[in-house]
Amino acid sequence: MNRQRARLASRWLCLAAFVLLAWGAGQALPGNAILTRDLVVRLDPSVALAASIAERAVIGATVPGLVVLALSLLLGRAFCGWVCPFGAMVDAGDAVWRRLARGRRRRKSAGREPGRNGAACPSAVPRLPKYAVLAGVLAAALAGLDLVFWAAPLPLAARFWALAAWPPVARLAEGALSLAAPVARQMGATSLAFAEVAVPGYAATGYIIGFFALVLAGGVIAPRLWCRMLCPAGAAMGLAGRAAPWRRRVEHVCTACGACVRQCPAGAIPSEAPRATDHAECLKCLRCAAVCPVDAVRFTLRSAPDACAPDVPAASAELPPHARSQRRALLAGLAVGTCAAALGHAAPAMGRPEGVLRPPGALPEPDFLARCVRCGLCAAACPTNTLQPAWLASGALGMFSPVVTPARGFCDPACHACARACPTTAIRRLADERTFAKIGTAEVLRDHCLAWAKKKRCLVCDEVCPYDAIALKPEPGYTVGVPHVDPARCAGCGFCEKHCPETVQATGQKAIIVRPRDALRIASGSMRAAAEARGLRLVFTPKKPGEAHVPNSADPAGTPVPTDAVPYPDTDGTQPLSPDTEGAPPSSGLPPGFTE
Amino acid sequence: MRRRDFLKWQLSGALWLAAGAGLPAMPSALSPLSFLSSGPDEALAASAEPDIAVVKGAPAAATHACVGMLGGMGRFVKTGQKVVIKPNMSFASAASLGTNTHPEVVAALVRMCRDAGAASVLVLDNPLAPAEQCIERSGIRAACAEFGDIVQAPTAERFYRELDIDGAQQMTANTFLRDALDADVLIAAPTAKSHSSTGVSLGLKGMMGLIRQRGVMHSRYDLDTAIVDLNTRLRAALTVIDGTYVLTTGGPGGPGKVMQENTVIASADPVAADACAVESFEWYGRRFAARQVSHIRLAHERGLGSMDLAARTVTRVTL
Repeated sequence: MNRQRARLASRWLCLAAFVLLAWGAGQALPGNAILTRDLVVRLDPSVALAASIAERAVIGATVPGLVVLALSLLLGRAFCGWVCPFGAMVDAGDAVWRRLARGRRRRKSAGREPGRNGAACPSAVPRLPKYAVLAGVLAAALAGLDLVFWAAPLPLAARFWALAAWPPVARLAEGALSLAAPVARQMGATSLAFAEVAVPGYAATGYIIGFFALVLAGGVIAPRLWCRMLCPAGAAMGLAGRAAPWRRRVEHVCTACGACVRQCPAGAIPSEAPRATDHAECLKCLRCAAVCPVDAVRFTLRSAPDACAPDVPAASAELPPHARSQRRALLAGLAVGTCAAALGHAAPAMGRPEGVLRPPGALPEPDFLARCVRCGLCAAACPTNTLQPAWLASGALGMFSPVVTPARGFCDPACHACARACPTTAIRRLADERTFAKIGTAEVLRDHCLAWAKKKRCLVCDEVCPYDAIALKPEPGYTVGVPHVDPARCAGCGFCEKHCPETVQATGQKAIIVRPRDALRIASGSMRAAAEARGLRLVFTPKKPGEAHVPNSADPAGTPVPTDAVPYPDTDGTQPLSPDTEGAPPSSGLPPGFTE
Repeated sequence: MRRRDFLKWQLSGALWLAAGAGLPAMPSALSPLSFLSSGPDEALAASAEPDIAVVKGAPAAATHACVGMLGGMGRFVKTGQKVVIKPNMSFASAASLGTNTHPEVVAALVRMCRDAGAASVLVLDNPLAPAEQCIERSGIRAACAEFGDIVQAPTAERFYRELDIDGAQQMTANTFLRDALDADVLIAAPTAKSHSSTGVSLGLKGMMGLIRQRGVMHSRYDLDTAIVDLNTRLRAALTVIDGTYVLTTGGPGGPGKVMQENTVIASADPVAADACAVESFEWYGRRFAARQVSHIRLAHERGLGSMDLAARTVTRVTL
């Protein structure tokens, strides 16, 4: 019973740690570099396998997943029973269903005998599909396509907690804070009165919630349905752990009463032979040992001298047909995966032909899609909420991959939280070269721009641009300056799009939008060198959004301005540009904002 | 600074005033002050204050002296009132770069408000840059730490309230920081800096830190007119301009040329305070008249105050 308690403690601790990390609790600790959001996601063996195979390299970040897989050679699927947060969620769902079912039974037939222990017949669940899922995922990975995000448990759980569960929790916290604020103010607790929690919003949360509702609804059919039937990580560890030395061993005192059969949530104990065990299914939850009335079940590394002699042989004697169909499932999955990959490569990528805006430092698109496990942690880490899971914008194969949506938030050139949250380094960590990671190029929609289309004196895009890539220039027929984007200076950060005051009614787009054109996507090497090789002049000069700051070469204390950085040919670079006066008739050389 | 020091500074301010005739930087408009040498403190608070006090000295001392010359904080803050101080802390940088108000100026104001019996004093700004960084690196939180967590940069919607601006020329509504609306006394405590859209950013312009929808002021309206509209709703009872480090170019965000002027300017008239700051410092290497700054001129024309410094009493003191 002690071991049961230890296991439960481990489960809930792991789930709690997983959720707290996904919610960014690690960031709250000062100077913390180890407890990143993606820490637990990296333990997923299916992610590690698929990403490594798709990339044809061992990805450093996914080594923990390979270690878990290696440990399963020793411990079997102990990870599923003791660590996996997805498994814990499924278990929690099962417990709810069990309680409901018990309540209903009690109401229905008070007189009838209690019957079976709530759990459905364990053997009713087909266990082979998960091998097909694993084979399919690996076959696709071999073809250079990562489909693991459809089924890998830890990214799925991360996506649920970070994108679907966090916003309502944040909203609740905000609500609680707003209720507490007046009281806090009365009591002089000013920091509590002013405490706030940002409430983000994410695309595709409906799908994520629906998916989890389905997974948890599986508990109606059988406990741990997902883990037994579909989980590719479970399949991988099951295959590796079939001969694991730490396993269920039954001593002869066993009376074959079948109590363990009814208790086993994994259906790993055949009802006709309770002494046998399907070690690829066993989650090492140790419930069978706990319920055994004669204490015949042991989980040990070596079989005891008085162990049932027929145990292991009997088990393997019973399992061959099973193993045969396992092979068949693997082959079927392999075929399906290969087909899917072929289709994926051949089929037109249902998304936008021009591609989508990826986070800064994202690998070249094929590599990026191969590595990204769609865990959503980058989006959760993004402070401006600009990173969103894509639905179909980046094609059927890019579902849930992160896209930058500048209309919702700019991509702060001083921030690279997404890269730090990525479990597979699909987003490269760029350290001090982050500001050179061009993600796209802004484009003025001249038919809609307030200045171009309506000849209004609007200068917001120019004002907010932290790369000084936008200039208001006089044009024939205009009394106002109209914005021009210098593609060589534009990093695609989206300050302009975010702050553009004009929204096109028909499309909901802003009048200046960032397109993925000329994004710097390199798999290795210096981002800065790549930018310079392409003739880009990305000079990041941070400033407060909504306020103008223009580098002034007359500043003694100013940032060093490269010689070629005279902002635009129509100014001499010695006077700061004034958004208010530039483009307007020049007003006698006064500094910006002053009048005669 | 402790209470005793504060009293000392107040006293010294009064003494300077009393001995005003001997001061080198004094303008000629001394006549209303000359009786002070005999009058008691009450008389000093009652009618003798200059319209604008300009004090050169260390930030905290100059702030105390300035407010003391205007009649002391008791003239502006009564016992039990709620005070909101609006400094510049929109940038995650130290005061010496000229973009934020000097923390000692803010702390001195808080102390004076507390001593005047304020029920609560809050130091508030709505930075668009990450709020925590601004509060931290401006040094204002640390300087005010002894008064509790009074330095805040609220960004969530629930801290703001939609409100009409009656009599506005252009900007007829905005969302205002609730605490600023609920405050009995609003004190503007800007730093003196240049601004590439509005010439300078001082007390009047600084009120944009107490609203949420700043973008429309740039895009939808004429910025200068909208600033005046805003100030018809948010009226600072006292404006204390920190000219310790003046960002004379490259504002509001910098980097730009910073001139250490070690000056604090205070007035009950927000337009006069801004006008005095414009004319006291050099901008872009030259001198300007207050009327050359559009939003100050517009504020003057709409009766929010007077930029006509020749008609006001300006007392200049060097500590």
